[in-house]
Amino acid sequence: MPQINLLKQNTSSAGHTALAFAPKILVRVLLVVLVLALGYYGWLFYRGGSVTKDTASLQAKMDNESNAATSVPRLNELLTRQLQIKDLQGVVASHIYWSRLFSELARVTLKTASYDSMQVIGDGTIQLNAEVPSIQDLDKYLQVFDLTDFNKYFSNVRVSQFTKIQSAALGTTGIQFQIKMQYDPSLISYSPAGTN
Amino acid sequence: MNVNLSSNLTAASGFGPKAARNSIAQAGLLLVIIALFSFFVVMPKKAAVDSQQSQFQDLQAQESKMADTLNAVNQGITALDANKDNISHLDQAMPLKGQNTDLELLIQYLAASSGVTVGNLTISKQGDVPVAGDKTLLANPYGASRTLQTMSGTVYVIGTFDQLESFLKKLEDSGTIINVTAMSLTGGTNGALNLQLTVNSSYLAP
Repeated sequence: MPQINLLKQNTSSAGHTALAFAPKILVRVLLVVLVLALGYYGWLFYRGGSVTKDTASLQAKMDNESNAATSVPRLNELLTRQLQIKDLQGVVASHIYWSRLFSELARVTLKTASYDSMQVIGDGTIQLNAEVPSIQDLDKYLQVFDLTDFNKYFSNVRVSQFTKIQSAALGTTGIQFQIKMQYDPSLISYSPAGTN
Repeated sequence: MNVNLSSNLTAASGFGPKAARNSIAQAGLLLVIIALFSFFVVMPKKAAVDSQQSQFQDLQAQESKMADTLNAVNQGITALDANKDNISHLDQAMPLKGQNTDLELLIQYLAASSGVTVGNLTISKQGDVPVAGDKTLLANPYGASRTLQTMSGTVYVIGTFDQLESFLKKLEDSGTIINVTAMSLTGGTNGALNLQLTVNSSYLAP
């Protein structure tokens, strides 16, 4: 009687069967990945078309807005006014207030002194011709500029010459002298919100 | 006769080594297809769509800016009508034509209101630009391209210190911006002082 061994291989382990299934499972997983890739491509295709359509629509809207902007009535006037304001801001920012120099100079000047002439030189120098009754007064006049309360805006006072004269302004003899000093440009420059 | 049913059954049911080999081949083929498809089709398409998307976003930003500008222009036009007084001041501060006679008249008026006597007043400007009767400009007053220009001159006035200080303050605070670029103060007769100023004023003209 022939021996039929139906159970000979059935004793192999379950792991062996799983290994036999693995390639098939891998194929199915890869098929799913391929389908997903195709789906993603389809979505990209749709998205590209959609973006193209939106871009065309937006471009048309921009053209309309551009046309609307250039055909706005009184646009030229508005642009001119804007230019006026812009240039005016620059001009105002560089505006100089010399009268502040007068007030400050009057504040720091000795009461017995009087000025014959004043010349403002653009580099921040002021040149003055002044008279005082005596040398002592000239000394006091100069000492004032060593005090912090009085030299905030003036500095480097130089006396170039002084002579004794018969003063018409003082009605007696006096000392006439010429001085040069530096002034602080912030004193006369524009300050927003009227800080000076 | 020995029959090994187990190996035959395995082959028939597709779990045999041959089927496994087929599956591995199929998997390899699929891997290659997926890789090629991704590399040569999907990725270029994605790059193209990303680029389109980026361009679209740039356009959106431009459109938003354009819409804001258009909105601002419309608001500006409305403001022109609502601020006629301010525009009048603006025209005084930064005139749209350089007429030196206007500046001379203004300085004379300020001198008279300060009590100083005008000894000499000269205002001049550069160029040979018409200040009246320009028909092109009259037809389209705001259509011309304008640039910032300056007229300048000298002012010589006589008065007391207080009068001169008042005159100087009025010049500085005038609605028309008058810049004093140089100043000289000298003693005169009978306690009067002579003030000489170099001035300039800006305007916006074609």
